[in-house]
Amino acid sequence: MTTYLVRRFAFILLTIIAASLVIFVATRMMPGDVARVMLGQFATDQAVENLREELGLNRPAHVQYLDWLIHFLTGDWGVSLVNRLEVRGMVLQRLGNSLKLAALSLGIYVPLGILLGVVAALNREGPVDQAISGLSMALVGLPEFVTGLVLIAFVAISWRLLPANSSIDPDTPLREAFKYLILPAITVSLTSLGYIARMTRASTINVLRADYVRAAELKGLPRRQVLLKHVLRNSLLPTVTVVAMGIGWLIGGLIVTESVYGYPGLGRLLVYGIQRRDLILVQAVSMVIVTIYSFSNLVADILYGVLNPRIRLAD
Amino acid sequence: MSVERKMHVLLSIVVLAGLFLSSCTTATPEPTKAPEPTAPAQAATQAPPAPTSNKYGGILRHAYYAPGFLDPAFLSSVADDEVGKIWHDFLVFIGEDNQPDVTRSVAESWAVSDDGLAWTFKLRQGVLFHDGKKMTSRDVKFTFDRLRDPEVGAATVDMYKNITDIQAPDDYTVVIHLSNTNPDFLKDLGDYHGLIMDADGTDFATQWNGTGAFMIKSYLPEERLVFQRNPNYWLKDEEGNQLPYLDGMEFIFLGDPAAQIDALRGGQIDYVLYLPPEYVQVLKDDPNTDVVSSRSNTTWLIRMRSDEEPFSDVRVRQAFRMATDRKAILEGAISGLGVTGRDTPFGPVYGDFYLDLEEPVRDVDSAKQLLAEAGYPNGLEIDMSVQETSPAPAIATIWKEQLAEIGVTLNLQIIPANVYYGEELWSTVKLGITDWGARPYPQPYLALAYTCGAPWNESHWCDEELDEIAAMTAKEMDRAKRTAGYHRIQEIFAERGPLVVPFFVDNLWGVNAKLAGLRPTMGLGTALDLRYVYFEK
Repeated sequence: MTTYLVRRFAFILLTIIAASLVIFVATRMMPGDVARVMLGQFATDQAVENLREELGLNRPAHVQYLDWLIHFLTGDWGVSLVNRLEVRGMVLQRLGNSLKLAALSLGIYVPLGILLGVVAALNREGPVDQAISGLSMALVGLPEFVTGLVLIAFVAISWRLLPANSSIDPDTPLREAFKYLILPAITVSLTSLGYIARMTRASTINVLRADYVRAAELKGLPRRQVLLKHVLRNSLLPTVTVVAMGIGWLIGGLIVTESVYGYPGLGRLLVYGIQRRDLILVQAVSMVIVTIYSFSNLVADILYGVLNPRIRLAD
Repeated sequence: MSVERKMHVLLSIVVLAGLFLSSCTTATPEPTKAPEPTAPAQAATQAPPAPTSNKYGGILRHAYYAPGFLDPAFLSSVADDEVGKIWHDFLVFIGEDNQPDVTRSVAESWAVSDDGLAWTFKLRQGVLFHDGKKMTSRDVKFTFDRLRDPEVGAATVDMYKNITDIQAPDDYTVVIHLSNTNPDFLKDLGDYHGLIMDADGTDFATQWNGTGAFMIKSYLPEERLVFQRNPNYWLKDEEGNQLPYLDGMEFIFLGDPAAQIDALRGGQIDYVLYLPPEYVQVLKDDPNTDVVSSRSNTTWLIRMRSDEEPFSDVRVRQAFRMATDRKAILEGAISGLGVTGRDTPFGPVYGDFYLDLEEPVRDVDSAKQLLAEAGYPNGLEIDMSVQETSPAPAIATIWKEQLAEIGVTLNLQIIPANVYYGEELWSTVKLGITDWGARPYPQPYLALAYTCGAPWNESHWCDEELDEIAAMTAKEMDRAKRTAGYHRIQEIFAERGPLVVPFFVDNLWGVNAKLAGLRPTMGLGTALDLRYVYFEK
């Protein structure tokens, strides 16, 4: 297990370095001259040239890359090209916000989705199953900006139950911040709930047909125990594989939901960065997202082993 | 969105995320804090008696695009402009009517020498920076010297090239010498970059020491900016109450207008700038919100590139203009929230400088005939670049139908605004829709876009007569002569110009219905003077 982990960590580091190269090249290829963008279209050519020199943009690309990577890995993420302030604080602050939203969303849609999926599978082809499957299908098809706007129109504007805008003050204690998180979390959950339910239903039906389940039932185990010990353990396996992708999406990809609610998450910060040609910011956010993707993949693999002893890794 | 990205996540991950979360909340940085206000002793003794007006109190919440660099010399966007004027003062404050207003300026009076080349400003005493330092002529001189220094490279270098020297003979007098007369000089000084800065400052990106009505309390870039009331502010209202009324302001950076409107209607914010016309009715119907408006010179103009076929032929330009029904575009594109244009860059907000020409009448037959004379008897087909920002697509769509009647086929290419400007399409395509912000006076339009060799001459127009008059109006101190010059220039545009100006759009704001003391402005940056704003109790 330890060797496995060491190998995986080394591999993750390689992945991140490879990704850093892609990120660096991609950000340099964004249209528009950074110095010109920073100073605005009215600035003098002399000022633009001075700034290019100051930012080191006149150095060869590989020197710029290595310089950036080494600084990044040692915790110096650079100064924003737009507002000239440290980006590390901004990015970590947003990461914290994104993690809060991700955690709450996961807490809503994962248990609920699994529950719906299992209930549907147990009532296969019955009216309950049909209702759940129909609902899942509808939810999967609804984009976030539709569910988001509908929720805002009713819950926030007509009934004024919850805020329409979720730009939380960073000083707000978590308990109070909660009310700003509910609507975005529900919006995210609604789009993902259907997937979880459908997937769990399909794999549970498959597992219910398996010989070992019949054997467990025939030897007289209580139904509850059969479900928890024999069915769920196996039927959740396919779900785990895609968990990693889900985490990455929740952290860096909720651009639509964050925009609809004005939630200060990483996704929106990335879009800001791109719109303003803030290379330093875009690089930092991308690196954070890549890192989260890599590690959530690792966690998924470990969980896979926990759930399924057949592929548990021997030392 | 791909299937994988939407996929599910296992319950156990919640625990992991929780762990991440707890580790990250500790890593969360403190927002950068501005220096605490340290009211000097003499300010405390000078302070007026405790406020008696019931207008005091409250926090104004506002959402808009995030500003970039906070250094006044490098302000560029509208967001930069509105933020800058909150924590700074102007030597010359330009009021809502586009005229200098001495009562709101840190200059208490000004005068120009007989030859028009030396301007003397007497400064107000008792204006304090947020750190307690007295503002003097040294700070004013520093400010404008910095703005005109090519080494610093501010956007204002060209505008202030005319300044030869700035002198500070005593603490409260500033004399500015010019090489040429400039009748608009006060307005140049009131440009949105002209914010008085601390001559002892060393890093203007992080030291926020203005003299303005509000002080920066905390700043989270791309997220929020919190202001608190400046307790030592010099300006008073008509009843002698010290301004501002508000305790503070919170600016949330949220670029999406739809999200801003939702937040306004949901009661999370109180004030929205640049309200898109399509939301006007919604906000008027909602008892919690209101709409404030003012005429302006902001326009979305159609410009024809006059140095290339087919628009190099004046008859083609005339035909396109003649085929246009401006009122239909005004109604269709912005619900009538503005006034129709006369195909000149100047609108009615300029008072006597504006020439109130007859509104051109649409004439399809004459337009067709002009096209035929120009060699296009069967009409023509041409590409048009249209920013996807509202209302440009609506203007283009309506205009396309109008031009179809004279046999012209427009191929509309809808593109993002940052491509239209970023890739220089706006200054190179044959036909495009460009948005122009309202300047406080007509001259900048001529200097920037309509004289031969002007830096933003997007229509590539060059007219000798116009150039001659524009050179005169730039320097002439006699108002009657300037007025005649501007009138002739508008006639030239109407006869042979490169523009179709369907309308000038009103400045619009969406506000919390309880907000009062609003002063709608015709100006360029439509940020309101928030010093007078208060909540009705």
